[in-house]
Amino acid sequence: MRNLRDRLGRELLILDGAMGTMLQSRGLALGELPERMNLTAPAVVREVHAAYLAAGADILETNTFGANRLKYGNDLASVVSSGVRAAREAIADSGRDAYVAASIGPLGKLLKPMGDLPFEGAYSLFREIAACALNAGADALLFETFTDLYELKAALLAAKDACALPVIATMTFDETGRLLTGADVVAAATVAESLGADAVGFNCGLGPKQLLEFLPALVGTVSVPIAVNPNAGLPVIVNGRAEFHVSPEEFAPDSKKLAEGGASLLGGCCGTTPEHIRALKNALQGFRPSYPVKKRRTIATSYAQFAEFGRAPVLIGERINPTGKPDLKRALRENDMGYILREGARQADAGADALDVNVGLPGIDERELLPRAVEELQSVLPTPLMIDTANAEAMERAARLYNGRPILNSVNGKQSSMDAIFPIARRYGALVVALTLDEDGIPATAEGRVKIAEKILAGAETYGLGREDLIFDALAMSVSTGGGALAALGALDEIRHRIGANTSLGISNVSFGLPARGKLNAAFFAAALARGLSAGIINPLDRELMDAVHCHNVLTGLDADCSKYVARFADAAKAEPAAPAAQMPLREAVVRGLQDAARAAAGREMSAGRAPMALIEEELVPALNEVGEGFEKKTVFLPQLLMSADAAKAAFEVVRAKIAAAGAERLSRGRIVIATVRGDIHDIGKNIVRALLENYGYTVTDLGRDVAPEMVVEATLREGAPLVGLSALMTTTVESMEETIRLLKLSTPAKIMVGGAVLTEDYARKIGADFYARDAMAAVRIAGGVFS
Amino acid sequence: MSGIPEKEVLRYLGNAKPDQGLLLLIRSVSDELRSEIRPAGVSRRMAIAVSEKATEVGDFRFESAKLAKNLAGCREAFFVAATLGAGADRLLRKYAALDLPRASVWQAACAAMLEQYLDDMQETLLPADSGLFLRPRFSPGYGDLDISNQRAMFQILDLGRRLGMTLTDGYMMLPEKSVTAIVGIGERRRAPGAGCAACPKTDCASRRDGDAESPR
Repeated sequence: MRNLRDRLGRELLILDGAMGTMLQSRGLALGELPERMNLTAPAVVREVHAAYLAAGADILETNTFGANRLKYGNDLASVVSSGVRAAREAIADSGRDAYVAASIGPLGKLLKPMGDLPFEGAYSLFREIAACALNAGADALLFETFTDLYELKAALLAAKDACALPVIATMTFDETGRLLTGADVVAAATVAESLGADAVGFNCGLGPKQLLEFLPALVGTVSVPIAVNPNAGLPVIVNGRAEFHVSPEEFAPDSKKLAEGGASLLGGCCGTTPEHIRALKNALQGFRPSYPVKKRRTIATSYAQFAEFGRAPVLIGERINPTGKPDLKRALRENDMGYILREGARQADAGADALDVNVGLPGIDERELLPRAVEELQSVLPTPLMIDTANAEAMERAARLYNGRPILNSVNGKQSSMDAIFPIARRYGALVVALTLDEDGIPATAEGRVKIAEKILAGAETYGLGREDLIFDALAMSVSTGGGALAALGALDEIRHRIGANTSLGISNVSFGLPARGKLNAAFFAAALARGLSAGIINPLDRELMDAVHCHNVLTGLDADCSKYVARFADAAKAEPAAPAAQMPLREAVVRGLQDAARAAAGREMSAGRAPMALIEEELVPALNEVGEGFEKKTVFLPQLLMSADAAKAAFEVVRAKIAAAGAERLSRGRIVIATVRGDIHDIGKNIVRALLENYGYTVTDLGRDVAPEMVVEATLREGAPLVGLSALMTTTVESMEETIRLLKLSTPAKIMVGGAVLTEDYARKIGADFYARDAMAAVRIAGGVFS
Repeated sequence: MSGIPEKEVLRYLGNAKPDQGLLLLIRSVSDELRSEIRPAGVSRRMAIAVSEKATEVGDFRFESAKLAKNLAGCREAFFVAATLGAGADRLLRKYAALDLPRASVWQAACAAMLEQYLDDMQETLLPADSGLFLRPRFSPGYGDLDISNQRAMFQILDLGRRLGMTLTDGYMMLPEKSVTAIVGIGERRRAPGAGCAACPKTDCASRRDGDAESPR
């Protein structure tokens, strides 16, 4: 029989229909795992396969959808091999030719950071399944019903590492055309193809009619063959159970439209039967698909959003980069991820389409910090990220952990750079920024830079990457050293228009060393956009740059009805900044939870010469106490307490900046380590406690969520913290809280306070805690006692 | 589309007296939830066998005297689940990192939205003229019904596939804003001694004192 890979996309191939419902009707009991039947009742499984073969299926999907180590332990290999065998035997009995695709579904666990399964754990589980399928003699792997792009990434990486079998990846979208985790068809399909899926498509969730609506987006995105396995319509709930009522006679013509629309692998999912497959086969008799054309789109994605280069200018926020930013340097040294998250959120809110992430700083291990920063940003923001580092190992780790299709920043024309970076881009399906410099430095002329771009493109092709995977940066240089910026502009123009690749520039470099940088940057940005620049690496908080791009978009018809232009400029004119709040005293501003007023009041007090300590002791702390007491008496709500905390924090920052400027030590009432215990991934309660403790002047080391007992002990010893706060929200995780307390008591003198929904005073004592904090104010009071 | 009752949000926040700022924040969060979040739910009507300390459904056995008491006299129950989906968790993570006041209101509004969704869903479970009543919802982790029974709830309702829900090793549901529950179908409105009084968390801020009142 011919190799399946050679037939994909060139012939119409029929997949089979539902397995689970067929097994249920043949005796699968409620609560029994369906794949177990491969071992206990292989004849029944074989019979289902035989029915689909007789109906005309060219590819059988094995009864292994839920087979993984979490469910089957050491039986996994035999469940998979008996599943493949059942299909093979059915094929042999039928006398027909057909392929066996090993069906592989999601693991039923959510990946970190949203869930508790580490990415590498998911990778290993999938790798094991893929290896079992290979050993069992499957012809292909069929990943199906994926609703989480991150899990599909783990699965595809594992499949490619485990075997050379063709991989078909189908995902389940909801009626709005999104995966459960938020990606739309374009973003999800981009990631699946970039990670090497041999065919991409839809299954389950919807019927053929609904999937037909989403097909054009898929066809317009990927250059690999397309697979669609619809349900027999939308589910109809009958007596609390989902039933599917689209008949074979309706199913087949709709499926034919899917084939005409570009799908070349067609079958069915829930509710489909051999009759549906037979009708499908008959309707598609003699149909010849045309092989997908190469799309050459340049798309970066997160888990939810995408940014496409070569259409409207892509704005890449440059602010997460410690160069010239003392506050960010401090935050990185102190492991303060909150700072990075706020910086990311501000840029996204200001209109950044992607964010550059650079955490390179002497004395910092980028291999640890860069993946962590990427993960933290991705747990909060849906903006695609650009991984910016000179450290290839850090880049690879971050690219691997990244949820989506990242941009790597950067490769250049040096052979050593290409040899280090292109394999990472290839393996993780990334886009790469390519700097037009090489062993001989940066050419002074446009021609020189274009030559390097051509060299880089040739190098990329040897690694299986194309021009659509590259974004050439023609290098904006400071014009203060003479020579102007025409080399960069000329080079980007030629790269864009002759080579046909996308381009980027770090805009603000151009004005380095000159006054009125904003004006020069904006003029340069406008000029570069006019020459065809695809992406600016910019500060999106810079109004002049953002004005420039809005003007460009109107002038080039990208904002054809001028709606964005009008929204920006007409509304901005209306929304004049409100008159500064009357001079509200600091204490009142904090009590009322007004950040701006509190910041202003603190500034006034400091300029008037008030001592920082006096301001804290006489204004801030009494204000916080007033609100805290109100909270305890239930006259103030939690959000109000937290608004006051934010206002106090804003005031503290003014005071701290003053102290730092005077070169004095930071004030601290004492060190406290806090964490949510292992196995527990709640953190809002813990974050609230941290915010209030910091407000009261404590230095808090926040270890995050799902923290191993050993980590808590290690941090407590390292910080010399006399007080540790532990949080657990679940009865099941109170066990790891108890374990953490036991270890802490063995090796540190620290006092321990605990909190969380399931705890009570008695329960807290029983597991060995020194204090029970029923809420955040209680934690403040406990700290007050310990440090008094 | 179910609503988000402001009164319930305030109750989840601890029943203090709100000022204008807080009410604005609650409205802003409610608007965002309504535009960003689509709750989804499933239910399944099953025959149950209730003994003194356990409830049996097919091959599944729920060991809990409190549940058995809640279901006393019922021969059937609805197994229900609902979730606000991954988006609610994502946004909560965002606000927990960037805007704690909003995060705290988000928590409360999500709880109110989810409860309201379940209430609305329950309205549709029985025909108006059935003459039958639904008992209060009873969930794994509540009273003496061990949280590990989530595993059975997931299997009975096929929650992984139907709602994209997962369980952590500690039986925490993800998406976090999710509920599973057993709702007895009885000829009487309520079994004696059920509701808040059945719960061991005696210092719960939402507890209603007194007799057998359920929280709603």
